[in-house]
Amino acid sequence: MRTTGIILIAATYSVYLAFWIRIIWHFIIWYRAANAFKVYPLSSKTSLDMLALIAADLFLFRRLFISNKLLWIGSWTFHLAFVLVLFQHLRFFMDPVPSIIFVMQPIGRAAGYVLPVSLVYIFGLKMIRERQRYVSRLNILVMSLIFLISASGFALKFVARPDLVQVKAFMIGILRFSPEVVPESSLFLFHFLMVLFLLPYLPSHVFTAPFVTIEATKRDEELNILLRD
Amino acid sequence: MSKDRTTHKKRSFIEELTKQQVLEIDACTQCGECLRHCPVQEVSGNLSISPPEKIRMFREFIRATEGLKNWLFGRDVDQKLLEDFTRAVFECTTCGSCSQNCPVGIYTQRLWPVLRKEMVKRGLGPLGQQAEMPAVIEKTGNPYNKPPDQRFSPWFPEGVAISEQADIAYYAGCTGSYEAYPMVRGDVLVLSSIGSPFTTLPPEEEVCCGFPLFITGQHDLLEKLVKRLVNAYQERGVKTLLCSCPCCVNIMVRDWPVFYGKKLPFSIRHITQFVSDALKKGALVITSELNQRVIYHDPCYLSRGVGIMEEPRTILNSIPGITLLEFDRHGLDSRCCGAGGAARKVFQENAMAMGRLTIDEAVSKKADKLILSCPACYEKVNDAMKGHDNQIQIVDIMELLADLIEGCNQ
Ligand code: SF4
Ligand code: SF4
Repeated sequence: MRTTGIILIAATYSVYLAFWIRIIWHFIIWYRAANAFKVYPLSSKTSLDMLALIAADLFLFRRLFISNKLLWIGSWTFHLAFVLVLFQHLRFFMDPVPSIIFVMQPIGRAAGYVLPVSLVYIFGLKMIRERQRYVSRLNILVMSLIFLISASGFALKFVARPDLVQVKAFMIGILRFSPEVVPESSLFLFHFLMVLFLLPYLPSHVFTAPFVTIEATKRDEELNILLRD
Repeated sequence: MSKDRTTHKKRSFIEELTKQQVLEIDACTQCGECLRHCPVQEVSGNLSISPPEKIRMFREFIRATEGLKNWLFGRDVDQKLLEDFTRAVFECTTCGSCSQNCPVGIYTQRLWPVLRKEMVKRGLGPLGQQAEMPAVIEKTGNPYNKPPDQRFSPWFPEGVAISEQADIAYYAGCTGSYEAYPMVRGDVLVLSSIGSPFTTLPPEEEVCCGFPLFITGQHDLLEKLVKRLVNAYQERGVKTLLCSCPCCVNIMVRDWPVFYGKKLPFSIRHITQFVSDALKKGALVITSELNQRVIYHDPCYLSRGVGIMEEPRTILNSIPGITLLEFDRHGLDSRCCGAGGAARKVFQENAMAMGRLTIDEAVSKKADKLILSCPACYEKVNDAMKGHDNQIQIVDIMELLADLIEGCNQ
């Protein structure tokens, strides 16, 4: 168990380090882009309407809603459930736990049920689309990992509950760079390892898409004034 | 094996990109939503040329030159992948349907031409006869290698007065002037009926607007062409430049200021804006009826490109007796007729198949006429109808209007 613990902790820190290197590297690439292609600036006005549209784009996935309502239901639910489950898990990383996280626990638990269902729904929808079926291998991998993580999360809740005190001590230890003993639950180890696998594949669109979407909303507005100024 | 590897290792793949475009390439979720709207996918079914695949390939290229592994160990770009990508990015019609329907909002209608430019810089593009365009334009002023002095003579209506100096100028464009006579003839007839004095440049001076070069990633001549045109219009005291070609209007309003170096000294308007205004003010009166069902096709660069969708419909609805039909996909969601992005010159089969989809839908909706408002659409859809089972009368919007206005000398 001791060796397993050391390996697991080393893997955790490596993944964590790799995650930040990846983010910083992406930032450097962005920073180094030469901007050789010049764009003539059109309008920089940001109206209240536009802010409302941007909010709808970012938080309600308005663009996806317009383009594909069936996928929107699945995708929006998935992202929301993902965020809520993450939020619910904060109780394992914080000491003391803020009351808002306690208040949100039932919602987080409900999101835990919704998460795998939304994944199956999205996957099924893609499979039944007859023409122009495009499924990226990376997306399949990410979806499968999240499915395994949420399935093992279920099992941890209903089948083989680990010692939550141990789990919390382990997580906080990792965060504080003073690792504790790894909890004695192979199911927890599986759940945790899957999260480690997921991190390097976590799509970077999570960070960049909002910026692109904001520009797109401004561009839509520009289209109305381009030939009318 | 090393011969199979590119010799452009030193050149970075982010040299042509804006910072925003670097974000866009990163932001594609590979959801594949755009595929449902891509006309090239519809006719070819080739997933390897789809937007997410192009973006995935380009990410590989960036990783190969900018990635951490390259920095630590050095990494080559796969030449075969580069060639596949070049073909894919040039097979696209740049119709922008993928941008319009991308849930993230990636501006692919702009991204593809910039990625094409990168491939041109690497000596991999453009493809086929597209590569001859810069030399041909330099020599003749147009991409069709046609005599510059015959730019207007075959179609320009007799008796229409052209002013030396005027607030309004009309730019006919190369495709209209050499490949779609009825369209530009209609433009001039309608303008002359409105009665406001207008000017045009002499045929040898009205050179290419630069769009075919821009869209195929060959930007070297652009500044020269743009400055020549802008200065010539400025000398004529022009305040508003009218044009009917959506591609010309696009580059004029979006990119001419960049190549000119500052704000243009005149405004750009699409001809349908000017004509619908004239109809509203009573400066133009449609005298004849047209008891027919017509269907209007939104050109990609007019609707998604510059947001002109209402004015053509206002004009058509002003025609007494007319029934205006719509394609299932219209306005911002219109489906490319196959003429876009200079791809029609190389990927003929795709272009024909797309053109026929437009014809078939118009026929199935029992339209008497298919109304277009783009010279490239006009040329391509007419081409696609040759030898096709379904036939329909194809008319440009100004050609139709000129027919219905009293005093328009046909
Ligand atoms: S611009 Fe048009 S043709 Fe090109 S990939 Fe997008 S939808 Fe397809
Ligand atoms: S719709 Fe947008 S995000 Fe989705 S695959 Fe196409 S380009 Fe990428």
